[in-house]
Amino acid sequence: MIKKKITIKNTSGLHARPSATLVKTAGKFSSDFFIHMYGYKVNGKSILGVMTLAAEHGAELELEFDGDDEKDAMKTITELIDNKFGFADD
Amino acid sequence: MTSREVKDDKLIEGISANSGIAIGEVICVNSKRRKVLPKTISKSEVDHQIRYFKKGRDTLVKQLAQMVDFLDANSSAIIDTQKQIILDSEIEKRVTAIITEELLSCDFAVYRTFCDFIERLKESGSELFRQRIVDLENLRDRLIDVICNNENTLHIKRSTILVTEELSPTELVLLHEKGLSGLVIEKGGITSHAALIAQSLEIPCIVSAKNATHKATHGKGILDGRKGVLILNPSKELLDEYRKKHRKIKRTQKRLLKNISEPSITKSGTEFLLSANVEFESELASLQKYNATNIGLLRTEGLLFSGKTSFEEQTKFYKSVLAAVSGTVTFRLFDVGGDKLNAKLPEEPNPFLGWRGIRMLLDEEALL
Repeated sequence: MIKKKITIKNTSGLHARPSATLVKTAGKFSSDFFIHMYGYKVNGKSILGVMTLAAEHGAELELEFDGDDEKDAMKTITELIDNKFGFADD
Repeated sequence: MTSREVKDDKLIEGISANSGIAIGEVICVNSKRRKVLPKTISKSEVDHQIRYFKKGRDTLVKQLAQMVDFLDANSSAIIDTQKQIILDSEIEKRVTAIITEELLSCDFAVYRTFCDFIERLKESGSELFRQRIVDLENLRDRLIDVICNNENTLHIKRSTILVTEELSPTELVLLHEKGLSGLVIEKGGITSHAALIAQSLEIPCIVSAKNATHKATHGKGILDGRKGVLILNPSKELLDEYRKKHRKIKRTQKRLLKNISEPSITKSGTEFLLSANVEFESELASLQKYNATNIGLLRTEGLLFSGKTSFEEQTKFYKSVLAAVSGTVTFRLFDVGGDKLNAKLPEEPNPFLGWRGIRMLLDEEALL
């Protein structure tokens, strides 16, 4: 199992569409993926889980990966969040 | 359903539509269209219920996929997100858990699962998700709609007090047969159809109870029909007090019944007829109780609304009606009024006085 801290950079936070992209990307990996935020832990492969975090701009998350492809998964997800999910800032 | 903070002795006030006291579990139906009530299932039904859920989910995903074809890229991304939500693994996990562990039907399992998520989104207080909440409610209702096409359910436990926005007469009758003990309706007045039927079925009832579905919580409740209040989570003392009152009312009713069993003659010796209005088979039992020897008005539309239209079903209904009284029965011929049916009827200046009842039946003699 590996963990990594990361900050949400989108100005409007982790709203529905970034959540959808995040969950979809996570679904490509076999590893389990959880997100910790302020004491909450949600399944990163569940869109409702991610949405209920209501992570706003600047929110600090801790990503947790566990499985055979955990390293790849962490790299891809980290890049996705750092690139603001490929959305131009709205 | 959603859990809310419970205050002691919370009151819901309305207008009394039928007196009487009901003590029981309060169930609140707080969606405009949706009436999802917890229904217990047996262990053997678990697999069935899970299958219903998955089948409904697949159908809805297919429906959404068809929509995508007509939409631009932006909108299809939204639909895509909706698809993701419906297929969400957390939803499946929770729905399955509610069905398997709590032995509740799939429509309710879906309802509660979505409501839990909606509640959590609301708690997060994020402006971002306000619109999403509407979406989730919408998805929830659609999913339940799809599921209910496979299996239509509206079930309650005995002595339940129902709090609802509105209720159709037929639904009320069905609920009555399942043991509904009290009814609180947000809309309507004391002459609204549901209120009238509550009276004839002797269900304590409050109408025009503003915001009742928002205020109501699950738990024990006392419905005081005369005062027009529903008391939520009553104290023990209050419960005892009302149980006493309840017994007293029953005693008074017994006395009245004794009275009524005497011959229908006025003090001056004039005989009079004691007749009853009847619409549903379940009302027939009260005829004997109240010593009514005639039926002054037998409504026949109830048959249509409860789907009992075959020759055999109608015959059965009429037979049991005729068997219930010794005197005469006045039938109202199939009188589907202007406000009850929007089928292919010709437009009329006043549908309430128009082509209905015997006037229609004489035109369409096959029906008669």
